[in-house]
Amino acid sequence: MIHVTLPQLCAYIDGELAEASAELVRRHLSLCLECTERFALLEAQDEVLLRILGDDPEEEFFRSLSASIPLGASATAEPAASSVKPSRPRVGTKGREGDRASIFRVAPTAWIAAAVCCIVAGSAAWVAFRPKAPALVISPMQAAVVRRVPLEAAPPLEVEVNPEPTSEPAPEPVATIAPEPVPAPAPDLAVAEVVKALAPTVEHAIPPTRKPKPKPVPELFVERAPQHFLPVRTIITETIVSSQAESPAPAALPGTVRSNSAFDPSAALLHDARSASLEAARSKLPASFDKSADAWERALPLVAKTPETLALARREVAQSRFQAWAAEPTEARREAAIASARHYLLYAAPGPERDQAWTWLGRLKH
Amino acid sequence: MNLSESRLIWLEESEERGLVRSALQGNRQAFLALADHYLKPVYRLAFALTRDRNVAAGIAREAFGRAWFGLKGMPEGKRFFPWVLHLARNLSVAYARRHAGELPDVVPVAEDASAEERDDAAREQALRRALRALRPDEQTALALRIVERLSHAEIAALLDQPAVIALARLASARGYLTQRGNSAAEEREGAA
Repeated sequence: MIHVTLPQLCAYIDGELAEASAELVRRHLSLCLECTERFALLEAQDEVLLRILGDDPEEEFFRSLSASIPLGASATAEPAASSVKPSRPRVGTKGREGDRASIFRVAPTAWIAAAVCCIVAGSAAWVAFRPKAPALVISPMQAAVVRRVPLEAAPPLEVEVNPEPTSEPAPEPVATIAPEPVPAPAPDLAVAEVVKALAPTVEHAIPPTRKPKPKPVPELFVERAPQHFLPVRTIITETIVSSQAESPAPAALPGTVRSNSAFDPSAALLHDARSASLEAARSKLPASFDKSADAWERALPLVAKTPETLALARREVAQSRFQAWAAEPTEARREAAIASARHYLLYAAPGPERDQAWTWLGRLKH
Repeated sequence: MNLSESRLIWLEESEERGLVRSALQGNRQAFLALADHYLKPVYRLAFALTRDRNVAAGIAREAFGRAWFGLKGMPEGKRFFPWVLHLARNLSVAYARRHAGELPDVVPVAEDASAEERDDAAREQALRRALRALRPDEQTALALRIVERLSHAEIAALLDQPAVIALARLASARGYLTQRGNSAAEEREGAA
């Protein structure tokens, strides 16, 4: 199966896809659990981002902000032609109180002058207080050897006393200088700190590859199950049929005509759901809304053939759950209503329907 | 708040041109009319990029101050709002760079919070941290989409980029944030 790409999903969430493309994405989402989860995650993330990035102060805040825009001291001056800019005040000008952005107002020359002063002072301090190295007293021969061979890595050296080349066989070495073992240098604390600071932090480290974990099949998948989940669907349908078989045939709605043909469990379920909706709208009791939502949820597998009908049924569920919560708010009703509204958001077409779902969610969360 | 409609209301172009022309001749009231109209979106963008009300207010004030004194430098034929928004965006990015080392605010969690609430708080904290790692263009595009509810075409026009680039910025930003959120959730699960 070819999945929806991230840009396609983003464009779908933002309502930027053409109708045909949006329909394709919608159809794919109704079949693919993985993409549906990504979609839900992105939408939930947008909600959190709105909370983090959004800020809507009172009108008074904007009025005072507007009044404090620096437009120059003189009311009659022609500011657009003025050479004085608010961001380039004279050095030493004190920023406004409470204006944390006044750091931008300091002239660059001040920064440069400060940096030069720091460098000069630092150099002077280094020259004055740098540690003096003790004078090294070595013999000329040692100096000659040390200059040529790194001390740590050197094997015992054999040095000839008489360096003149002769035709005679080489004489036995008369002196041997073994380099003194050099103790390992103690770790320099400052260097260690710098190395530690340069090491990649967790923030910049490449995140470990994620292993897909086996996920439980959520309830949402049941009504949109493709063929390979047929057993689950069959079980649900059988459950519905058996429950219908035990219950008496529903009464006909006013104004509707029931055929005398064989008992159709699908039609009965839908009929039940519609009756429950009408009853809830008439009585406006929370229990009736709950009943209506339950009835529509039972009917969901029957209307899952097309996204449009599924969206309508989901809307009924979400609306009933929301109205039940609005009539008598309880925590259980609120959670159920949030879950239903989120499910409905997966199917709702961009526009007033999605806005309605967002409105429900907004009211349920605050 | 309607989440699907753009919150930005553009001034009529001819009216805006008139106000700009008048401001160029030194009419402060004309400039203040422009500022009053576009102050909120400029402030909201600055807040989205800095997440600090005082800083955002300072940046909005600074951006309009610079706009007033540099109105002559506004490119010919360009609208006022994208120009002033660009000033605010640059100031916000400069501020954010200066304070890049600071840790984001810790999301408070009540002691008796449920596991779900703790997960939400952890995810929000991870998002706050990850937002700082986004590129300025990604942050700006995300802010304009999430906060102002602008269309991709409007975002592209404001950022002076093609619409596909705006979409790419949004997708890249959202993908990165999701990845960081998932990583944080996994770390939390591992720690638990």
